[in-house]
Amino acid sequence: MAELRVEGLSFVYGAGTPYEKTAVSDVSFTIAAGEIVGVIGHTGSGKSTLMQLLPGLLRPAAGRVLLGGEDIWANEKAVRQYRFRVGLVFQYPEYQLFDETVERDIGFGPRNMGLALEEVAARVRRAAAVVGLPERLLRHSPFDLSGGEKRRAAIAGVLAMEPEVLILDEPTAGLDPAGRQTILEMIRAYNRQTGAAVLFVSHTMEDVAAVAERVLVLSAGRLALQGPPAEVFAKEEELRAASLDVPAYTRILAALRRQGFPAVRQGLYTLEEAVAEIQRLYAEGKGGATC
Amino acid sequence: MLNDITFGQYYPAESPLHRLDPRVKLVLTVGLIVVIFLARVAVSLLLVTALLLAVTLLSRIPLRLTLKSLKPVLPLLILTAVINLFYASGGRVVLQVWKLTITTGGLLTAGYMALRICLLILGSSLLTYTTTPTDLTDALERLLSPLKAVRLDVHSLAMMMTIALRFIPTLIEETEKITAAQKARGADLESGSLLRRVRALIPILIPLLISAFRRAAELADAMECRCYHGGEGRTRLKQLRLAPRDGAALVLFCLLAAGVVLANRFLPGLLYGLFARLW
Repeated sequence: MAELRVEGLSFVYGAGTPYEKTAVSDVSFTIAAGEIVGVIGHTGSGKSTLMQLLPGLLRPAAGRVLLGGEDIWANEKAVRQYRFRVGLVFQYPEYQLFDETVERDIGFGPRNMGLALEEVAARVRRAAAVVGLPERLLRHSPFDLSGGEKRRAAIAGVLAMEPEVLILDEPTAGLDPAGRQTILEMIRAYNRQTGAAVLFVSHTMEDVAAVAERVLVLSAGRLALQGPPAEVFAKEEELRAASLDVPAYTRILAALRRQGFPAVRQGLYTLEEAVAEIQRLYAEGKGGATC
Repeated sequence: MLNDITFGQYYPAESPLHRLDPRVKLVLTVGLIVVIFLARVAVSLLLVTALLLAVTLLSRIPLRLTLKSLKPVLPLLILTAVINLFYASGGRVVLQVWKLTITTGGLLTAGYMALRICLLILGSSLLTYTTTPTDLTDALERLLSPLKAVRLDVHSLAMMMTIALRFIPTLIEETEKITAAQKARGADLESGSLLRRVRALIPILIPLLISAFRRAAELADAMECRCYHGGEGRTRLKQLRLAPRDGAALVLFCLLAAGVVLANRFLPGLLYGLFARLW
């Protein structure tokens, strides 16, 4: 498993035309092997562009993408090989399903890798198991699946390449709470089972807080903040400046503190922590210590 | 690559051309196409070129943008020129290699043909740059409305055209997204034999087709939700009315057409003669 490093990465859309627009400018960070990193940013902050730069789908205007220390653009012809190692799941991936059966669709990536048929079949089964797709569905047409199943089948299509770095662009967009939970658990499972690094973009602060070990905040194409969730979500001002918000649980605790509960601890950002904190306050409140 | 197709994209600007009645613009564009093919001699072709350039400058559309609309037809342009170069005869022999001869006549015909195609594309893209698709189909509907008498559903045709035009950029964007997604799964679109490359398009075309049908169904539902029921009794927010400038444009065009016809008649071979003498 290799680390993914980005150095001074920039990208410009429509360079040299009146519609020129810098989408990513001078972004640097490192994703260590086995790390789970959340990426947040307002619409148009350059998240999706950045995600496409990492597997070499877009060529950076400046800067480098290094996988295990190798520049992926060192040899233009070989960049395709890196796409198998840095797997990117696009937003609404279910719209890319195309093959006759779910099995063949998931196997598209591994077949492109030139793997032997038995190996492709084994990888398809493993990927389907990670996303929780029952075996019997593999023989169905992908277009007969339900919305949530389609999403999982499409994600399995990238997992089957067994990338060392898995990137997901808003994997939970448009799903119900149960569907979101399934996807988040799947991210954790893939990370645990393979030791791959995972980078995922989300608009839901609560999802990032629940899964990510580290958070990158993008604002207007630049890396505005990065650090562990506790650290990033403590900087409410900076997040507001980037048109973002802290998780709902953090907001509730902050509101409680303003309402006259100075003992409320800050820097808590998951549901479990918030519940524990309110229970603690409640217990202490009964004793008459703080309110 | 797909971004290069600027054909049929409205470019917002404040210009006399933008304000012209879309019906007049449509008629003039059709007229221009006829005139381009009527122009048989150098002088009349130059006349058309000069007028088109003047109108382009008047439209306040960046010249670079209008020239970009030529890019997609470049292969066709080169092919036509090359074929004419060898097949058209007349004049003196300039070059002869094996069985292929290039004559001065061939050179001229090739040049004329290339220029004609350029003018055609520039002229018609000027229409789409200065007219919104809605205005355009509105104009088309009005111009074709006499055909209602022969039970042709002009309104539905116009509506279909509006929708088709509206969805071109959307589908291009969609194609790019799907292509990137399949490339992320290692799809190889750039190498291999022709057959392999055509086969490599399947993972892109199938999702694209499905998404087009999905969009069509969603759009139909949305239209029905807003009580769309065809053209019967439908009124317009924007009524088209002819203004003096529309008359001026028509007069100007008639002058051009007359100029071309007269040049064809009285000034044939003017430039050709000069050209031949210089050679």
